[in-house]
Amino acid sequence: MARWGMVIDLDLCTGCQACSVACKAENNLAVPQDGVADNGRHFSWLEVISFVEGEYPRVKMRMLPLPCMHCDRPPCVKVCPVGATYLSEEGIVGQIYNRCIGCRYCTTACPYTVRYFNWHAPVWPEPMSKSLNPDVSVRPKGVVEKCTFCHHRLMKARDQARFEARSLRPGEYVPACVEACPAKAMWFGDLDDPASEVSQLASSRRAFRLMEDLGTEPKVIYLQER
Amino acid sequence: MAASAACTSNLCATPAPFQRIIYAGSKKESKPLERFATTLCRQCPGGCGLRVRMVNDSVVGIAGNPLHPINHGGVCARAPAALQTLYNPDRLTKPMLLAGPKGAGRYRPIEWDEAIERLATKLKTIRRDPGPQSLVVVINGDRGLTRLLWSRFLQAYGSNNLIDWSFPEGHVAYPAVWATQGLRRAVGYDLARAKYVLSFGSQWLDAHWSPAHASEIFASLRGQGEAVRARFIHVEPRLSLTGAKADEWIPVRPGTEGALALGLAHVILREGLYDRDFVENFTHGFEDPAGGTGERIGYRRLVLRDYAPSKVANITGVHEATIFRLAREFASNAPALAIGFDGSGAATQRCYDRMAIHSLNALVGSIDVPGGVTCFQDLEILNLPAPDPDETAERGLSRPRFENADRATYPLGANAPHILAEHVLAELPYPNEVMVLGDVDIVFTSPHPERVRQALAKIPFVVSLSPWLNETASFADLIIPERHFLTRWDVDVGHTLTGQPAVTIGQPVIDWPQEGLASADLILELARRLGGTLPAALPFKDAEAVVRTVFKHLHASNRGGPFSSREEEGWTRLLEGAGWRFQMTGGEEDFFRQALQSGGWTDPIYYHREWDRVFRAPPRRFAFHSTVIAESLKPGSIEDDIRCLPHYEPVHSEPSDETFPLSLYVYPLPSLAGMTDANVPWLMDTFGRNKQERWRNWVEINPVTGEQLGIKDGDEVVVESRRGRIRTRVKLFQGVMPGVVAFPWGLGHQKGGRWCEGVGQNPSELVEAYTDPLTSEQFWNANRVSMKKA
Repeated sequence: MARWGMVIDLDLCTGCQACSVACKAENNLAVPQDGVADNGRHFSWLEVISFVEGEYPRVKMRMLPLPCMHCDRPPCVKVCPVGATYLSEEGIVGQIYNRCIGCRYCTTACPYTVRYFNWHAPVWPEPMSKSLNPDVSVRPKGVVEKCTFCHHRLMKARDQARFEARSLRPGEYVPACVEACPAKAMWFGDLDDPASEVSQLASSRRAFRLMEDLGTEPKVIYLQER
Repeated sequence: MAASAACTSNLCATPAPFQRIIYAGSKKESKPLERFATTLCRQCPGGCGLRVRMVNDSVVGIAGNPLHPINHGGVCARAPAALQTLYNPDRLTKPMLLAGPKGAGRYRPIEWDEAIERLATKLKTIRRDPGPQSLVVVINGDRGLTRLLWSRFLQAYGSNNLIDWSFPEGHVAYPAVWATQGLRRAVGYDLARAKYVLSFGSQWLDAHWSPAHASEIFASLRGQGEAVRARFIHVEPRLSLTGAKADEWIPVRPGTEGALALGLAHVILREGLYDRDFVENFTHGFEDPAGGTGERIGYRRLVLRDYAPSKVANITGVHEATIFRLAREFASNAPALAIGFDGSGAATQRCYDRMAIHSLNALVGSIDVPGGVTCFQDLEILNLPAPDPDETAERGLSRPRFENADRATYPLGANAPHILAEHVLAELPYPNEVMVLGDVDIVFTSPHPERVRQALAKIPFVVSLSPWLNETASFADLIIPERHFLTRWDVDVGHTLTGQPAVTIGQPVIDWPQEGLASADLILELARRLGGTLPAALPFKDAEAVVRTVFKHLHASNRGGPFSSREEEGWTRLLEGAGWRFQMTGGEEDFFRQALQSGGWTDPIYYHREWDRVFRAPPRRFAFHSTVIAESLKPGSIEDDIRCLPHYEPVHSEPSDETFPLSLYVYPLPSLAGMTDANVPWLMDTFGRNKQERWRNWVEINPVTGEQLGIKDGDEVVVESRRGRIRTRVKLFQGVMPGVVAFPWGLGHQKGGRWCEGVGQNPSELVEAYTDPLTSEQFWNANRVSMKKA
């Protein structure tokens, strides 16, 4: 059984946000409505956040693409009263929209703030709905949604492999953000496979994870010279 | 159906065999349910390749073409957002005729045939009286079918007026390259192999012509392999994304980058660190020229005389020690590159500044060497005899170009879209009867929008081919909307920064017959309806036929081949370098099919140091003392010499007084700059590094400036210049020079669709553009403003 994980090299990331928009397109993120940007109800499953450090003229700005960390010990799963969010056998933290009751305990519990609540019903003015990806459902008002590591792509790749009576090949399943990255700063694969690129990069001396001290065991690993 | 396969849980996943039954069962026609096609991205003129996913004949996903030499499978934020331009409810898909006063934006839909007939009739009429020269066509940096066909059309029709409105994002290093190398085209920078990169205000990671290519190059600059990690320094008044990714950010005062370059040159010359071999054998004007009546001056003496680091430090605000250090580092880390194209949305450098920056490359011998400046090889994509003009056409072609800047006044001003509006208004050199505007928004992108509006209102017949009812199109009498790039045939002639040519095919990936008309098809149809010599000049049935002809020609050119993997490209390079060539199996048809599948054609080989290609103007050397400028100036004194040499002129601006104490710095928003289609919600949602800022404007000032003015983070303020005032919000940002107000460019559309109208403000309302003395280009960043709490 694979344990899917992502590696993001912050030294190579240029903060271009291609990953963010590719994610919106792949996962049917709705057109933002008036005012959501102002009241903090705006969302995007993969946000490129930035930090400014230091004082003029010695200023550093860091960019950090922030998808769901797909923690091995996810705090969000613990608090869900209805089992709408779960950790799959392969380490993907999923969300079952029709179980979600919209209590938002999980959005509060997530230390990375990467879970988003649908405050509004999604809007797709005609003919924009034609661009909807049929592999991903559109979420209704009142449920929480989040990055799924493009889990539908895994299902599709696995079906194909099963159809051809073989096992999944490395690189056959990659999320949309990794596919889009122009600087090739993102990798995706099986962290349990010692030969995989991600597990080798994850043991690099440049590797770190966000808020490691919380013990959430995230499976998104960042690389950066410190 | 859409939701059935979508649940992300294992529990409710559709069982695999069932899914296959759905796929097989719903196969009503021969087309599979899910398809992929390679095509060309036209979200900007960058020329990247795409791999598009279609389900049920709808485009549902856009990724990069892994074989494309420019983007290698990566994309920027704009490419996936093409879904929202394709299926945008505000995109025009029907021709429209003005129904009301000009500029009011009231139109009524008409039929395609009527629209084309109206334009054709008008063109026939004005060709007789007052003559074919009164037709002006404006296109936007297009390097493909549209440019090719319009230029042939206009040659046969009899007008010289094909105007390239690539301003203001332009290939702006180009006048400096023209001045120094006689080369009238953009150059590349072999960043991936450089050891030291000094970028002067060149926001190549924010606003490069292909952000995807720039990001990939940046990654290789960072030495993913064993290569020595290059050092990358960025000089700019504001810490942009490019500055943030650099090893070091050097803030300078807006408009003084050229002075800094001259300061570096001073140190390099004084300490004798320059490449003597290159300077002696391949440059001109380094030493004082001979001739003339009085004393003369060359590059070396001018730089040593006028640009001592202490003086430059005063101009630029960069510490003297930093100037010494940068110069020594630059000269001792070959190959080193100084990049001066300000890919930015608003021209921030003047031609002399760019010449000063480009001259640094010559000082260290980084011209046309691996890791240096690359000068693209010529590439003809269509080899047809020039159109044979009839008598009327010849009369028209003998008239000067409409936007011809006078070369006696502007030595590098042969092609100057910036003066278009003024010339239209003054009827110089003759009145303009019909203006055809491609997909360009000349009102929004101009520093003087009201002059362009007046000009458009004055022209008797304006035709817009833009699919957006933007500020420019709303002055049109007739709108014939262009098809979306995913539904039309196209070709793009691009280059990688290393000088590798790439001809990319754009093909219609879905059928959408009712959708707009491709400009290429419109031009061919107009030629047929106008008759005379025009059909012979454009002997093509449709746009697809032109694309096929281009590839027939490339097949016959006997070089390169269809896009292939990097390994195969390596083999091609090796074999072609040794004089071999892969034989294409099959004929032209087969070649075209392969090119269509892989995305296009490329030739991976690049020959360095072909000086005839690199230096085009006599004396066929790198001209520190510009021979091109000298041609029209005929220098005979020190003053004239200085006008031919890179030098610094103080930024033309009001003195720093109490009314306007701050400098305005306009910079492009990575996701929106220069776009004609800003009406894309996903892009409005991603304004770069400013997490809290989306769907509105803001200005950045240094906290020190904020303290002086008593302004806190998030305050509403009014920014006022001599020309206008804008109300917006302040963000305090350590990455702006004190005394500078940084204003993003790309927002503030008044027309163009529901998602961009009234969002933010356009800084062009504040700027007073300064005309470059060499090129007549407009320079935006010489303005002073004041700021106070609203």
